[in-house]
Amino acid sequence: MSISQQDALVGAVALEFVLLKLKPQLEEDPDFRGAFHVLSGFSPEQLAGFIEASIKSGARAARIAIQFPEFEMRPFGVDQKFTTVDSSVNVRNRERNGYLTLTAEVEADAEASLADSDRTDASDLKDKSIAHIWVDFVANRVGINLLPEDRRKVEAMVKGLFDTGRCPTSKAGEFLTGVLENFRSEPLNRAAGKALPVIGLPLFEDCFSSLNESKMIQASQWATKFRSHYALECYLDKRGLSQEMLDPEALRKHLS
Amino acid sequence: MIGPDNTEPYYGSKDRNEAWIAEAIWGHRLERQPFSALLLEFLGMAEGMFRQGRLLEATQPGDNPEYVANRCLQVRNLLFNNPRMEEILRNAQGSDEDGWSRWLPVMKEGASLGDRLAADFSYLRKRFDTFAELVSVVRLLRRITVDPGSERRWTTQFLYPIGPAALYEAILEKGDGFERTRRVFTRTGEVAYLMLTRASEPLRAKIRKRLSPSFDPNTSRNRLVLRLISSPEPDRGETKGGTYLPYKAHPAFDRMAEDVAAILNLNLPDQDAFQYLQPLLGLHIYLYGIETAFAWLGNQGLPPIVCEILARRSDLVRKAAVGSYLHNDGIGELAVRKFIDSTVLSDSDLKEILKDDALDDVAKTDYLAEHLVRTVSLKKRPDTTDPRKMIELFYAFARKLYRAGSADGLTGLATGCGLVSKRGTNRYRYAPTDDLLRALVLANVTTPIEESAFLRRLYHRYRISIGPAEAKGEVLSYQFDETDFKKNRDRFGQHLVGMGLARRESDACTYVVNPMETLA
Repeated sequence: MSISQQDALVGAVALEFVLLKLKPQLEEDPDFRGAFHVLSGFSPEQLAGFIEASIKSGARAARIAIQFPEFEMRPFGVDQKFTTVDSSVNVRNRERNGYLTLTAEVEADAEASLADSDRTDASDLKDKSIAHIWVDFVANRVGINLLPEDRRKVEAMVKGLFDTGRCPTSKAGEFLTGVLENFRSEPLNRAAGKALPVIGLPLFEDCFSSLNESKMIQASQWATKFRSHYALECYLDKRGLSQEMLDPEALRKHLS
Repeated sequence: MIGPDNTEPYYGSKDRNEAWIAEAIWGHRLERQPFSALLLEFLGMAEGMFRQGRLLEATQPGDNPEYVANRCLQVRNLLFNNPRMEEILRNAQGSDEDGWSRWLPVMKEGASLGDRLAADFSYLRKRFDTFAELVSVVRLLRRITVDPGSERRWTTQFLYPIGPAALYEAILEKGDGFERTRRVFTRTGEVAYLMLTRASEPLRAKIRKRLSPSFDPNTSRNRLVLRLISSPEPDRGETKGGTYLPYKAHPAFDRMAEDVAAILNLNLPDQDAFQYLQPLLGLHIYLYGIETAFAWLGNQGLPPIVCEILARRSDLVRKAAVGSYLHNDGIGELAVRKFIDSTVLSDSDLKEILKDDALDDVAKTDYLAEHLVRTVSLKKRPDTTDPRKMIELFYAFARKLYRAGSADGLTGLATGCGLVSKRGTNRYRYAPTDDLLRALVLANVTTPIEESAFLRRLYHRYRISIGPAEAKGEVLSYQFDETDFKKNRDRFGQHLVGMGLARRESDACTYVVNPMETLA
């Protein structure tokens, strides 16, 4: 079973996040004797994406021992070394031998047993403070070199989007991918407007056109624009701003 | 479900309806009413049928089950049209004779009993040792007024149904007498009753057995009310009937009956079960409404109902809950359109006439107007001589009629039962209240059940999605976030634990329990 691009992207960003979070131990501590870390709130597809990304990242993830539940990973045909039939608690109690042991919280009783463990929750990926991870990773994946000033603008855009709280993690990556692909040939604010349908919003190329250079580096400016455009999503349901159903006949006439 | 084999036409008069469209789809009729009136109207019809020995007798759409409802004018005057009683008791300063002699003329003057009863309450002197005792009984019964402080007129104030004498129909004063009003009892409670009469016989038998004791006139609570009435039985109004439910069979009928039977089966003392029946009746009629609309659009089963368990701030669950509500709110309008297309405008004669170049527009609109009267009893002809324009106007009229009638009624039911709310936002969405969750637990849990299994049951039975496992397949990808739905599920668990309907065990699993089950 293959996984979608979005899930692969979420898995990959989660890996980047974990690597960044544990960088002091993994890269800077010569006496590091191992640690235990839990991933929670991720779907099995996203966990498979995490494994895929760890394989691709090679030496950077060399000190990570992934031990996800075998029954969850079975459909994706991942290498057995990344899975375990042991419970999460047993994985936690194993010898770590200088590795960062990673498991996923999927069992019904795992939550309480692992409550005190160091963890990364899927919602952590929508934290504004890690917007740079998304930007760097997606830019790298799309194959685009962002100038420092453009990088700041894209980062502000991602923060603004996260600030609205209305975009799922999986779609944030897809949206960013769409924006950066459009950005090859268009200014950022137009590129973002063109990618809006990815996050379930009406296409509006000029949505962000009033953002000038100085406003584009402010997350709050992007958030305001996203929010005001989210208010228009009622039209996708053929409803007006006060949620009243629009008359199909009137719509037909208007659009013909 | 939607087809000529499963329906029968309405044989009653359609004179009072502007058109017979929503009525043909959902029944006559679903309209907004005070939510408490739903249960009272339902019980009123059940009680009327019980007196005839026909409680939950099977019905067909073409039948016209008639009953006579109580009016209880003396009780209503004593409770709700008797403002000076307390003042007279105070002024009498302990003199019983003084109290009676002042109060009886006041009632003779002010009470309104129509032409069948005299405004003479002197019979109460024989029933009560003292005037003060009468006042204390009136005071006691006033405490169980339904919707206290609603500022409704005295003829539309009701008592909690503590017995058959406390069940009476809504009326309005007209001249010296009274007339029945369908603004408070809109027939929606009667539709609920008819839904149960179309459920399978074993379920009806169970409900009949458990509901009948509530209509026993000899219970102490009912005798308390009867003490205020001069005759051994309450006074009654004219025969009522004409309520219509179009389908012989519908998945909603058994679903509703199963929940009603489960609640009654808990053997709660006296009429305590009614407080849980009330939200469930509303929920089931709402589900019937959206499932019927969904079926008219060619689908099977219920449309998805994505629920937010009230969160502090907006997240994707709220967005999905709003979207889900709006979708289900919109399918009714589409069903009306489908009904018009398939029932009214699909007529081959009509099509031929509209296509006939030999006829002018006036002749075509005349034929079309007659056709609309024939098929949907349209009362007011659309004002145009262009047939295409007439069809457009008719669509718009039907839409408006549906919005103001059945759609508003369904919204009233959904908000009244606690399934839909605007709490914390300015939009309606599915956000079940604790009262509704409690009723759902009581109706669905007999032995402790793991939380995820309970959520699965809610999904399979009502298509309600709360946790990520159920929501994943129901929510659009750009509205689905596993973490947000997990938090929603956690809030659900916390609510249930807080209400004493769930236990969190040492293995971190949450078990949903029915605390009333021990009584059964």
